Amino acid sequence: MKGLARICVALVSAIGLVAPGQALDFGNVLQRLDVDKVIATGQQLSAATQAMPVNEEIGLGRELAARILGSVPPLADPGVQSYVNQVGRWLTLHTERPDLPWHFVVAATDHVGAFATPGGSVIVTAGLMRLMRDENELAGVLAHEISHVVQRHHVVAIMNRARARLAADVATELASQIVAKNPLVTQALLGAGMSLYGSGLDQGDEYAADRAGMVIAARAGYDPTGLVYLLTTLDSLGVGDARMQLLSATHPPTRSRIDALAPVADQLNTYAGSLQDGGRFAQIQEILFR
Amino acid sequence: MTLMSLHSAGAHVTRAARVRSAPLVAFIVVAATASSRAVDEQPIDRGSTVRPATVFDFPDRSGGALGQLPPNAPLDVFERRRLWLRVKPPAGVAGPAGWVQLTDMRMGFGMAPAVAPATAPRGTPLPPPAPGMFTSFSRSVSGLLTGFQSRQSSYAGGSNATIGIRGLTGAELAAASPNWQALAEAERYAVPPQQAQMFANAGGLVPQRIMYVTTAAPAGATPSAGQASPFDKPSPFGGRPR
Repeated sequence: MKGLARICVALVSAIGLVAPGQALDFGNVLQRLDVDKVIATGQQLSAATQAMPVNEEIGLGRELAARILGSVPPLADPGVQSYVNQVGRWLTLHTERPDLPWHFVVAATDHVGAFATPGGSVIVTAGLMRLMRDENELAGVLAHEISHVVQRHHVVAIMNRARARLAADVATELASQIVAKNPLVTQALLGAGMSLYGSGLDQGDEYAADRAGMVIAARAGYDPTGLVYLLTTLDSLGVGDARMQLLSATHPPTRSRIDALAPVADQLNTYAGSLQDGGRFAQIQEILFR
Repeated sequence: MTLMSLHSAGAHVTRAARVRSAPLVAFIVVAATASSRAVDEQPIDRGSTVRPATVFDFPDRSGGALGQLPPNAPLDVFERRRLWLRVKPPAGVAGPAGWVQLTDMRMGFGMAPAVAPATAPRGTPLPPPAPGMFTSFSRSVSGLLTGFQSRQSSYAGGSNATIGIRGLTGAELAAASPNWQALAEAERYAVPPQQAQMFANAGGLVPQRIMYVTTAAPAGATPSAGQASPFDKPSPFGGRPR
C-alpha cells in the first residue's frame, strides 16, 4: 500500500491539486478543488502516467493481481506453474522491459481468459490452456499479455478512468459538503483498475498487443502463428459459450482479430519457429485434464 | 500386386532385368506406401470454413486452385504449414482436398462446449515450489492423451477436470478482495533469466532478431488510449531491417 500511496500523490499532483512531495490533505484538496479543472487537466494526467516510476507501476499491478487472484485462485499444481513461468520469462527476455519482476500464474477456472497487470504479473486461466494444442499457442497468449505490460496499456487506461471517477466522486463529496480524509484517490485507482478487467482495454490496444505478441513470440523462437491458431479455436466456441463470457466482453470479436493478424503473419512468413518441446506441453496438458 | 509378391517375382529375374525394372519397382513401392499412408492417415485436427474458401494444390496463394468450398464446410486436417492446412472433407462429404488458409477456418471440435458447474469448488492455494521443479517433473507419464484427444474430450464435455466458471465476471472482479497469500506464493514461481534460457535451449528455441510490424488496426477499431502505438515502430532494442 505504500507504493500505492505514492501513486495517489502522483495522481493528485498531476491534476494540479497538490505539489509533488506535499503531504496529502484531502480536506485542503477538496476546499481548493475546481472540478472543471480536474476534468480539463486530462492531458497533464496522461503525461504523468507515462512518467510513472517503475516501482509505483509494480505496486499498482500487485494490488490488482492480488484482487484478481482473490476472485480466481491459482491452480494448485507446482509443475504447471513452473512450466508457464519458464515459457513466459523466456518471452520477456525478447522485449524492451526484461528487468521487470515478471511472474506468471495459471488460475484455476474453466473460464477462457488471460490478464496482465502493470509491472509484470500475467495470469492465464486453466480453461484457456486446455484449448491449446502446443507451446506455440501458449507463447502466443503470454506474449500478447506481455505486450500490454511493455506498453503500459493498463496504466494509461486506469489513470484515465481514475481521473473521471475521481472527478465524479469529488463532485459528489462537494455536493454533500462531506469533506473526509479518506483514501479517495486510492479507491479511484483500484476501482478503475478492477472495472477495467471487467470491461476491457480499448480495442486498439488489443490489436496492438496481438501484433506485438506475434513478433515477441517469433523473437523467442516460437511459431508466431500459434496465437492465430488458438484464436480460430476460440472462434469455434463462440460468444454463447459460458467460458467465453469475460473474453467476449473485453476483447474485439475473435474473427476480427484473426483477420487483422493475417497480414502480420504474412510479414513474419519467414519465421517458422524452432520449437521441439519433447512432449513437455502434452505433459502439462495431461495435468490440466485430470 | 503386393509388395511381397513383387519381391518374390524379383528373385527369379536376371540382374540386368532387375536393374531395368528398378525404377518401376521403386515407383510401385512408393505408390503402395503412399496408398497405405492415405488409408491409415488420421486427421490431426478438424474444423470448418467460415466463408467461401479456395482449395489450392500447394500451400501458397500462387498455387493452382483445385476448387472452392462453401462456408461451414467441415474439413479434416492432416498437415499444417504455418497458416496453411492440408485438408479433405470427412468421409461421405463431397468436396476438393488440398490446402486452405487457416484464416478461412474455425478450428477444433467446436461444437459441443463443455458446461462447467457454477458451484464447483474453488482451487486451493499453491504449495511452495521445490527446487528444480520442472526438471524433476515426470517425463514418463504413460497413456498420455494427445492434444487431439484432449481437446476432443474437452469440447465434448468428457473431461472430469472441470474447475468452475465462478469468479470471472466483471461484477465479481470488481467486488474481489485481495488474496495476498495467493499472490506471494505465485510470485515464488518466478524464474531468473538463466533458468528461462536453459528451458528454451531444451526446447530448441532459437532467438531471432525481428522488428515490430507496421500494420494498421482494422477499420472500426477504437484508437488506443495513448498516441500511436510504439509497437508500430521498430523495436528500440534491435532487429534487422526488413
